[in-house]
Amino acid sequence: MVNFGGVQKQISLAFVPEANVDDYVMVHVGFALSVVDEKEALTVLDYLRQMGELDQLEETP
Amino acid sequence: MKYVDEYRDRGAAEQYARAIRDATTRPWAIMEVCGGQTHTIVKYAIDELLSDKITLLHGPGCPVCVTPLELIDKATQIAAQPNVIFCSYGDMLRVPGSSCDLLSVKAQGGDVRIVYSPLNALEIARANPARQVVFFAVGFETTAPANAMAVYQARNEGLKNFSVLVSHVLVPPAIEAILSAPDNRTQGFLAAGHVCTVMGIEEYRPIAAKYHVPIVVTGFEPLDLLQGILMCVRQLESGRAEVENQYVRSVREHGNAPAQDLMRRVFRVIPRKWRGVGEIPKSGFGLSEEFAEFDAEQRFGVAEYSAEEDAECISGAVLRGVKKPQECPAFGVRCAPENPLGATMVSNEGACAAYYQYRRHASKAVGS
Repeated sequence: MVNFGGVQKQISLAFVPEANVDDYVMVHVGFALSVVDEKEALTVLDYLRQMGELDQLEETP
Repeated sequence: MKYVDEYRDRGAAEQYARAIRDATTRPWAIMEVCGGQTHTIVKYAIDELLSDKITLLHGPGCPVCVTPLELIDKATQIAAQPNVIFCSYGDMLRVPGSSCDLLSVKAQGGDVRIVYSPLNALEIARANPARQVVFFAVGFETTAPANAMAVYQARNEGLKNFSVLVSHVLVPPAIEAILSAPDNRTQGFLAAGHVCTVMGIEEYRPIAAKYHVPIVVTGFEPLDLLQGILMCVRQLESGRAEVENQYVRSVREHGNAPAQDLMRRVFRVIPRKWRGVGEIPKSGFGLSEEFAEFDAEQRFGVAEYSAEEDAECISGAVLRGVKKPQECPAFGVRCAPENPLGATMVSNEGACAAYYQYRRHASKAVGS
């Protein structure tokens, strides 16, 4: 059973045998296709900050 | 919803847009492959946030849009037969065939049903053993594992009244077809994150190297797309042509192995016609010999049928990124979602439908 922000649906986990209760999964037409990597999920939000720091490092003489 | 809302943050989007403007010194044309990405870009006006130097081209990754006319005709021919329950994803119902669409077959008494998953079609087959249940198996690599599983389960259960009308297409051969066309404008790609969730990213490396084109595997939320565009622009500006992965939270290097194993068993790679584009070698799936008995084309005698497409519709040029929807003289006049000439005006993921929904009043004012 997968909860989509409040809506619950029966979803096949046949392709994600590694999925556990409370994991976030990416679902397409009734099947989970991946378990969302929670650590990586935050990197998009962090990418700019990291890039900013890298640019500053490069600018440092 | 977690992992959705934070990727729509306005402040972060503006920071990304600024970073993209700062990184861009020359004009670049970047194609997002997937129709879901096109929808996000047009809905959130991401293209208008960017530097004027960046043109986003909308690619062929809308399964409804590239399903060839003759397959729609085969679908309506099968659906009109007595004793058939024809199951399809909802957005296929309004795609025009040569003479009618699935919705009009339904209006004339055909048993056409909208399903959310191929597993729903299996349930219908179990519940109606005296009738033939056909599932319209369309889609890219993302949908293929689910459809493969439905066929596999049907065989395991000995379901004799279930079959699939297969129209499966693959992204890498389409990218190659776009890049090798003489009128190609695309200099960098945002590859489809969900396709790569299934297939992994390795098969894109030879394409990036052969055509010297950056390919960034990208997600579907506004910030995903902005980050993907930024990564692509940085590659273009520095002359790199690598495969990078923006959608790391879902895409693993080798993709989903159990899904690929089942797909390889149930399907085989065949040439496919793409609507508006023509035939591309090795660009899709048909059923493998082991599962050939589930082929609806054979079961209902429509395998040899073929059809030619309407000449006025420019969806082929739109799907290859050569033209924008509003360059079509029929756009919004003779072609609209209520009476579409081509599939790109039907599907939620179609570029023409997205422009019609979000841009038809604005396109002239901004002069694009």
